[in-house]
Amino acid sequence: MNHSIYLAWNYLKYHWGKTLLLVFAISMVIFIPTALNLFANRGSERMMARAVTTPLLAGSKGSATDLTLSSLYFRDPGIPPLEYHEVKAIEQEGLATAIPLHINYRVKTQPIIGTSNQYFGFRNTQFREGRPMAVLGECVLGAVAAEVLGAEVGDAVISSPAGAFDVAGSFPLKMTVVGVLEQTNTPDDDAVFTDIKTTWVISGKAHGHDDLTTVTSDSLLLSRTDSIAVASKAVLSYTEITPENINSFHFHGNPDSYPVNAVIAVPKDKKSELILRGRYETQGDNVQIVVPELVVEELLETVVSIKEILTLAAVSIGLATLVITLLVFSLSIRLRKKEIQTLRYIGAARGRITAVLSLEILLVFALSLLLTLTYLLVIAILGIPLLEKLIH
Amino acid sequence: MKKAILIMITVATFSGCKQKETPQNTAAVTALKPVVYVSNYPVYYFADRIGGNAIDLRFPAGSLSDPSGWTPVADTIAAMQSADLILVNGASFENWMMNVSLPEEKVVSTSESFKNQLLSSGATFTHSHGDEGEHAHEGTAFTTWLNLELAAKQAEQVKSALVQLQPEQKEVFEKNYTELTSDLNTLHEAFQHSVPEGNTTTVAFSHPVYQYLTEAYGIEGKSLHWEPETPINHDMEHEIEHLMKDEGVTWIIWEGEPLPENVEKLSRMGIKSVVITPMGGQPGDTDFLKGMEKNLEAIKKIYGTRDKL
Repeated sequence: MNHSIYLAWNYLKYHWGKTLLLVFAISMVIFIPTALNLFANRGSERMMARAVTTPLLAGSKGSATDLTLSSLYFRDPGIPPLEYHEVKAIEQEGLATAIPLHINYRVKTQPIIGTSNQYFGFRNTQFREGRPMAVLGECVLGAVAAEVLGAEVGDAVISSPAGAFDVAGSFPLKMTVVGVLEQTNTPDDDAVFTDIKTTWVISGKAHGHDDLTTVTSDSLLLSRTDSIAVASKAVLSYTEITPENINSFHFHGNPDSYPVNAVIAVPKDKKSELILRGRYETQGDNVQIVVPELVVEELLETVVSIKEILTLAAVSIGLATLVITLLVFSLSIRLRKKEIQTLRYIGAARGRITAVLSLEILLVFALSLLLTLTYLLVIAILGIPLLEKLIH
Repeated sequence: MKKAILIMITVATFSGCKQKETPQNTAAVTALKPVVYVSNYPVYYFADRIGGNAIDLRFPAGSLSDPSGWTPVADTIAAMQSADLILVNGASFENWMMNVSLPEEKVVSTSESFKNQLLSSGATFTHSHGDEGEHAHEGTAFTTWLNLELAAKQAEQVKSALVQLQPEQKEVFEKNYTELTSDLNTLHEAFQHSVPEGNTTTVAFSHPVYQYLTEAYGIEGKSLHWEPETPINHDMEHEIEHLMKDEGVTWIIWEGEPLPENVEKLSRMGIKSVVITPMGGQPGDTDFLKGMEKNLEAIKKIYGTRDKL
């Protein structure tokens, strides 16, 4: 048997070009559907894990997929915002804890998430350094955001304008970093968390400026009486919230009408969840409540269908490749007629010749499998984080 | 000799270890009590009377005479975030609440049950920015506890919050609450009889902080913006002269002990001074009830009333 392996191995070594080509072709045929399956499964698991840990999401009526994806992955919200009183309404029902999400602004490319400190407890996120937000103008960075922005506790980050044509719309607010989270391999790593009231400051709904009762400059006041002052646009809002100016920050209008992109509702129990869902499904208001798990499941069903089509295509190509491989081997036997004849002349039994030829095929397949495993290993180490980035 | 030294070192080491254990044990016992934060003295007093030893009561602005102007620093807020309960006065007493991140489910506004009865502070200032719609920063008067009927309602909110926090202590809290409301109601009745019916006497208030007191007990008055520790100047003299002439003011109610020279100057003008402490901050050597009793005596002094109870 050892002699047969020796002969087969040396034949493959001598014809290394042909061997390599065959090994590469076969390994790719095995690898492509396997990797596709692996990617799809891992992606689905990740998406489901995030969705399953988010019991209910409330948002404006519209696309449930947009609401879910923007709330779970901090993408730009595709639906109009809710008013903040909806957060209070959910809380007042006593059925669930309501965690607001405001997702409109960014620090460079990192999303600013306006929320409450309950978010950290809800996601079971640990602090690598520092503490949660305590006062207006403080923020907490996800692990990746801290790395990308090169900021640590005590540093400051500045919010970016919401768009090229929104130079005067949103507010470039300098926020102090008071905490950095442990890496969680979720979209939380990329986020800049702040209190929702701070995002309202960024949006201009709340601001701080010089006391208009004491301002004397004519350029700053359009008019003033004992009870009314009309400030000109020259009155600049503070771009940083400090202990000295924090008391000058005030809210224009009723904060209950301020925007919230989504509300994570964490029901007290299953019964509360059902009551809450029923209430929002029956009422005709502009609010919908969705179960992210169901939305993601639906989304994944579409992904699975695509995966199945791709797998079918890969398997078909694989089968065709195998047929061609077998053809290559059979043609090679015909080409090696003289070589086989010589083996017979020198006394090789028919069984021995068959064994040598079969071992050649087996060795090629074994090498292909080994190469496929190497690909999968490389993908598992380098490709999954890449895939996660794509999903996020 | 060496043995004796060795024994002494060993004894000293062990006794040292024992001393260190004591505070840890105390901390462990304290940690078992729910931590309750309060933002002003009346709420502190109510929580202390009702909760007693069952709660770990903390009043970070306790050293201030007027916590209404207090703004907690970030570290205090961080400590408050981990509390079990945060009792606030509400009625705009805690203006800093909008600028901090506190868990809303832990915050109880003790004036929430009578929010429709809240009074305006009288100071309204409106401003707008260019062509934006104007918005008013109308002040809400916050010294709700000066109406002892409202103070009792605040105490009820405190009791409910504490019972929810520690249902196993319900009986104790209910008993303490009953005693407290009995005291508050008795004092409320005494206040109701302190101003004669059909009162026409107008007093001057050194600051506009007595809205609930005047509304509940029928005191008529005009507010100034005087500090007790600021000497009366020419403009202030002019101001009080106007009040004397237009309103017939003969008494001024100070929120704190005025300078003797101010009392003397006013006395020469025919204005008598009394102190009615708003009780927002921790009083030095007294408590809420005694402080309010002292306030009652000051009112009686103005109106010349005697005890009718």
